[in-house]
Amino acid sequence: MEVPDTGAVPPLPPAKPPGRVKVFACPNCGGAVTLRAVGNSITVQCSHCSSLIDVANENCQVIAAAEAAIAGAAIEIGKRGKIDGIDWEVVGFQQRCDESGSFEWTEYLLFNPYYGYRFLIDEQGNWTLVKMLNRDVPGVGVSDTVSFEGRDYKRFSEGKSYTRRIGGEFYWRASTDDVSDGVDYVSPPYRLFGERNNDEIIVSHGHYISPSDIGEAFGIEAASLAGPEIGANQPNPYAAAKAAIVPIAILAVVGATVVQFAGLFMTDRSQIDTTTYSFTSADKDKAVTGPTFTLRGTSNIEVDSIAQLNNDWLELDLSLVNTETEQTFPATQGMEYYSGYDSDGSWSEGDNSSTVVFSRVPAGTYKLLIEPDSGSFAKAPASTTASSVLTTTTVDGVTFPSFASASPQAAPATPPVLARVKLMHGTINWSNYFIALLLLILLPGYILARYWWFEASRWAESGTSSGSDSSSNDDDDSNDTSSSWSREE
Amino acid sequence: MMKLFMAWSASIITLLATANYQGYSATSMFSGPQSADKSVNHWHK
Repeated sequence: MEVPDTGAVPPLPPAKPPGRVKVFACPNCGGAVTLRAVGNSITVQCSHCSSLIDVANENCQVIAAAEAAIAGAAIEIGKRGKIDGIDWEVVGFQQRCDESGSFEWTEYLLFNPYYGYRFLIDEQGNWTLVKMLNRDVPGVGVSDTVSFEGRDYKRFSEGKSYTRRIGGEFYWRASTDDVSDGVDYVSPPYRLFGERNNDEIIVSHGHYISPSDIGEAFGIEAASLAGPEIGANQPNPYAAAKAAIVPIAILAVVGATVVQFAGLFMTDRSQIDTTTYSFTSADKDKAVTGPTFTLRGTSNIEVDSIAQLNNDWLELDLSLVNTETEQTFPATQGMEYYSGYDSDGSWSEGDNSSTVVFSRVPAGTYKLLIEPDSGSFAKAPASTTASSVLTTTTVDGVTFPSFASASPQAAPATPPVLARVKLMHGTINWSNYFIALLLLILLPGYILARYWWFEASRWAESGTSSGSDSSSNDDDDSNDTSSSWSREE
Repeated sequence: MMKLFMAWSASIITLLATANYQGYSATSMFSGPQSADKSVNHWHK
């Protein structure tokens, strides 16, 4: 049965998407060359003889025969992978190095007929997906800090780039003789590139892609794509923890400080007694009775002692005894002071003062008993005269006793050891506060240290002296025009 | 981890307040009250 001719025009087949594949014979070796971005690529390299072929016209002339075979690319040309939700095909790559030749990196040219070209830069395991910008970014190549889309970028490095090897196809006349001036700025995970090639200045913007994402996209083992060095725009793994924990730590430190000073003002602290004792050998193994006092509530008792020692030591066994319950709080104070002269001059060691705190002493009436012992007690015959209290002061505890003015009322057989013992209650202990601060800043300190170490490692690889802090709101020194990388008018 | 650190910080501040209120010193040589000791009687004068 014939189909009647209605005269209608048949619908046109759907247009082929741009960037279709074309195969042609290499004019040098005759091998099949695949052109993956027809209409876009200008230069393609023969995969058989490595010759560079100009595909901008139908003649496909050989530009140059490659000096070396293509090698060293982690991702093969023709591989496709999805990055940030877009399928990309690797159509070319070029291996480049800096002026010294010691630092090499690979730039893959990715193509998608609907999205155009991107560069995927592999800097020894640190990957950045780069898009060329169609506009100028003021300050690139001139300033140390550049603002772009609300972020401040700090200059990271600059210098010449040399193309060593190329492979695949390119939308420009790629050559192993390509040399360009480049400068880059970082604001992790983003990066700005400025590149001057002959009369052309190109600004590109990129962001960090983890090796695992690259591996997943192109079906390559991620471990083979990662490198040991910290990338220029690699996100600091401690940045999020630092941003979260530092405000909490500051609040906690402020809170602890408020608690400490509130305690200072609210605690009923006062001086109980200050007495200067004259201890003799007759007091050894005996208890000298100190002051009796009453505590109205649970508090601490601080005992500050300072002794007049000359190449001697003094130990005070203290007992705070509740006169009603006979509950005893013991403590020991040790003081020693030695000095002399030798070939190096005068020397001294030891401390003739000591402080102990009886913590959480319940309310009640207490008596302080002091059992002294000293090195001088054993040096001379024991005195037959019991010690006597020289002075008693209940105010102004901050004034140290004047031992010179203290005159023994009954001279003992051995020189007495003079010691001033001061009792306070309700004292605020600063050691609690400092221990609390230490415990509060332990974890933030660790995170900050790791954060700064990461940044220091990052900037140690930079070609500038921008310092280790790469935060996006640093001091703006954008007026610095000392760069050697400058635009040509 | 942040919630854990907040809880940790709150605990430290609470401990500090309690220690200050009770007169407790973290670095005190004192190890706590001893039980009543009749031998101290001879000290009373």
